[in-house]
Amino acid sequence: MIRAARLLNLRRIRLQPLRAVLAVVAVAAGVALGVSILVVSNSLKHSYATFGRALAGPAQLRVVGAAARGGLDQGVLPAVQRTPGVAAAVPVVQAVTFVGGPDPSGNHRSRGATILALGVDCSVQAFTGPQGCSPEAIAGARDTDPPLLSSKLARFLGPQGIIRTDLGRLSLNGAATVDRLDTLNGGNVAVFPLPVAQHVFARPNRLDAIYIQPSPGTQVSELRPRLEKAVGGWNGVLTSTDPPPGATVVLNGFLPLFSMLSVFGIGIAVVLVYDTVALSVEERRRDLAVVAALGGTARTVIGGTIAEAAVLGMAGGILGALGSLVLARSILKTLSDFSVRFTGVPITVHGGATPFVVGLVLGIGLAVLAAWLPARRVMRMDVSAELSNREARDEAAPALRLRRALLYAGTGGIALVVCWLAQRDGALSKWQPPAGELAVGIASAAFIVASGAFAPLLIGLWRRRGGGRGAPSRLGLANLVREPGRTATMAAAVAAPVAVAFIIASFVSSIHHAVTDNVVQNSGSNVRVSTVPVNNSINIDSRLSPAVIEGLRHVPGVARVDRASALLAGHGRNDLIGVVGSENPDRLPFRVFRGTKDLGRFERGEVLVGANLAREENLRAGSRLRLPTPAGWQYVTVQGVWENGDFNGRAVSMPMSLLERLYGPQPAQEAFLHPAPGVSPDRLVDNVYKAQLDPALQAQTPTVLARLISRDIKGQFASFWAIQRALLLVAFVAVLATLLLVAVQRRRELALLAAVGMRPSELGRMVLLEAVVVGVVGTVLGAVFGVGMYLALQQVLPIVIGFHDPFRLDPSAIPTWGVVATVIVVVAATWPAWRTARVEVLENLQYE
Amino acid sequence: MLRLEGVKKAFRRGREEVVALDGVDLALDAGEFLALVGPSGSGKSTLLHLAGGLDRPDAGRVLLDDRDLSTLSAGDRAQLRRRQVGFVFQFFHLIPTLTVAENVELPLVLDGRRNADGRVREMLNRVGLNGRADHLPGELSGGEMQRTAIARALAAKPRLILADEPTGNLDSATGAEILDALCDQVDAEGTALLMVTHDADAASRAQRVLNLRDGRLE
Repeated sequence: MIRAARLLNLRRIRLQPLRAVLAVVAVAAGVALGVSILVVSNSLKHSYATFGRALAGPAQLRVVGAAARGGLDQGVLPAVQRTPGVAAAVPVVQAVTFVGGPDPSGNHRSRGATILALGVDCSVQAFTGPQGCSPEAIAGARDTDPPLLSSKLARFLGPQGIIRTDLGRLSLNGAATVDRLDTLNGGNVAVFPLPVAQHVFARPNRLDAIYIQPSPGTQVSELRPRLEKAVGGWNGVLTSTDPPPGATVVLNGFLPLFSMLSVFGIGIAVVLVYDTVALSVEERRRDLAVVAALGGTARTVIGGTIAEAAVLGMAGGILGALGSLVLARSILKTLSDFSVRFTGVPITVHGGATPFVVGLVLGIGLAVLAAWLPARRVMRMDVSAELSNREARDEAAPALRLRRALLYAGTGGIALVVCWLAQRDGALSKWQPPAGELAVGIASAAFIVASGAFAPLLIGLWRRRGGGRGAPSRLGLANLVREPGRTATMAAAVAAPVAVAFIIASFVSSIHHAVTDNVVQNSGSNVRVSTVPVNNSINIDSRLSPAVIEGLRHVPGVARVDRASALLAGHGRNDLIGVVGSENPDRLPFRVFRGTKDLGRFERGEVLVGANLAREENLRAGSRLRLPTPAGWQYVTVQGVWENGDFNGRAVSMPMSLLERLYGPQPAQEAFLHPAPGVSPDRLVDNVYKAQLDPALQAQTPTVLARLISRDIKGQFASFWAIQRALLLVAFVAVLATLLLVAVQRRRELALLAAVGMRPSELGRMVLLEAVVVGVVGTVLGAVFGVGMYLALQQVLPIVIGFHDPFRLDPSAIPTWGVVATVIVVVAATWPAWRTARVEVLENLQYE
Repeated sequence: MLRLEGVKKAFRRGREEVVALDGVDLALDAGEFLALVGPSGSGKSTLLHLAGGLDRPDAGRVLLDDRDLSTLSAGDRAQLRRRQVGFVFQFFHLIPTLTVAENVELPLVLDGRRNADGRVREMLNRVGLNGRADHLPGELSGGEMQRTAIARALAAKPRLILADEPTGNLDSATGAEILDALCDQVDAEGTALLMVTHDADAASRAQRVLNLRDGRLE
């Protein structure tokens, strides 16, 4: 059987390379999309682990607090030091903040960076070795003394650099440098004395972590539970390479979304590979019938086809693994920006061998899965009929094709219904999220297959209505109708990138409208002020200082200043909660699924929780939610579950006073200025800037705020556009290889056309017209079924990311990307058209 | 060695049922050359395929060495075709990606036989294609392709050859050569040969000629 497989199947790969390329590229596309998520996940873990090792040195464990920012009470330190097996316990403040300054080269530009600001005392010498630190120097350090900098950072900033703290700006002029710090976080680090860090970064008697060095002979596995008992369950004990708690927001927020997209991409790849293999097997029906006539068994035929698919799958898997690194780089650019804001740690691509191993296995699996059905179908063919040219190809029957197309579309429709069911009532039941995610995958695959299946039917309808004038166009249309399998493959390949572009553009538009409506409605005429970016800034320690808050109260036109702040509570991947505090809210904006959103009860401390948190913690109106705080476990009463998507739907909203009661005084992340009567928001913004309270202070009217937020979110879609480009490449290869196959297979027919008088230019034009028709029809079907895919995603995404965006289509993407896709397939058809025009008449009419 | 008893076979073409064979009885002994003639659509190829176990009759029996082919599994019938039956088709049906030698070797490869080079060389020698062993079918003339097909059909030393219009696509001189090769096989090895043909000259080489019309033997 091995030799038979080598002769009949593997030989084909060598002799018909373009066909192989098509299958390999389709597999590679699916593998790249799937494995890129693995690369992203590994890169995140590797980057955090590398950072953790660099920061902690020989420390193997660390104690973290109830909240990501100053969540560890300093009183825990003695308990940690007393724990048997602890040789050293080093308290640390880890803040994320900004540095900046004029460009040292003097070109009148400014430059800045997000860095990690550490606060340590002399106990850090247990890890670093003697550094000449003295407790007196630590105790006597002033808030105005510049921190230690890495040499790299000092050169970057120059002598006029500044660092931002929660008390304002601090000059870095005269800062001492330490070369060793260049190896930590890429040199983006500053080191303060611990008491100074606690003061300037608003962590009175609080820490972010205590790094632990075990005593010699102590097993980490034994020490960890002892420490957990010593510090209390509201605090956590992590290994030094575990990612910081804020990183979980990155993982929990983006990875499920990208995973869903990769499932979508894998679905498309399976469809393309299936079509390719089915075409290839279909094309070899006669040969396979001969093999059966000569005594080949089912095992030989199926085994050989599967072996061929596996070889192509291997090649596609390795190519896909390479592609995954490229795609991951694009995705990680977005995630790194996010990570730097949340943890100060940038993310770099880390591949290693794993993507290649997984890519290989996934590629083989995809290809074999896609080849299985076509191989089995061939085994059921009527050999005698095939050899007698009596075999009626089922696929040619329009009625059967229509039934199949409707079946695929119907499957997508049913999956849509499941998506709708999965998101109902905030998806508060446990079955809803997995059902929704699965239904999105099925809907996407079904609609892409349906777009291919409807293509020959649509073209047939066009043809019957008199489409096509002149022989080339009429013959081209006839060819497309006569070979529905090939037409479906090409049309689906075009429909996929058009649909994805349509979906992305629609989501961008939808999110923009949602953000605008939300912000404008809920802010009224209030002006937002802050010293941190508008989005994802919860962990940045560059907040509004008390002096600035006081100054804002005296800005002309300000009737009232309300502070707002948020923090991340918890420390494990599955227990992070966003705690959001706001002063004097005018209204509670989001829709309620359960319970109430009464303002009076809110002010009295009855909180509102997001849907994902409610589902995972079984919370309803009246439930008591347990929160980890520096002082231990605290309980709050839930008055309602609402549609707030912050922190992927795991936010607890409460009055600012309760937040500070639970977590201590919090510097304001942002403040909302209520204008005095007769003062417009725009005028108020002007007044704020005129007051010159802080160079980093930004003020935004609701309209401007909405624009900034949606622009920030739009930037995060860059990775998704990268996926769409990859699908355009697949479309190019699909059309190129399919039309080349056709040119070879139809050579007798083409020779006959030439023999009866069709000009070479007309032959070539016929092929180009086929590509144009496929491009147009694929675009139309991609748009139509793209609506279905968008609807499926729009229903289920709130379960993943927490926010519900309105259904809003942006059709502008369709003509743009439809034209691009059509141009691409026409370019792909150029070479097949040229070959077709040069068909050798006599040679191809001689023998079969 | 081959017997057809009351064999009937019909096909569906759209809504219409076409009767290909309507109660055919036929017997063929070892070493016998039987020609089957008849107009197009008379059921000749269908009869050949039933004899080779490629299809099952709707009624009646096909017996090869007293074994009813319709009672055999698909695997057993495939084995039978590999070892006892050789097919020669009108349109050659060579695998285009295999060389001449590999096409000839194919039945042996499918049967899992190793070290078949000697047998392949012998067959190529017999049909005069030793010099074309490494050529692909696309590089051969029609006569060479049909001789390759014959060598393939004989490679496994079958006891029955089923030839479907073996000279249909060849000129008369080449056709005569092909018939010579087939007749030599019958005479030398005692192989039974059932040949379907339009060609009167080809039919005249047979020991017996039967006429098939409208699914019945006359």
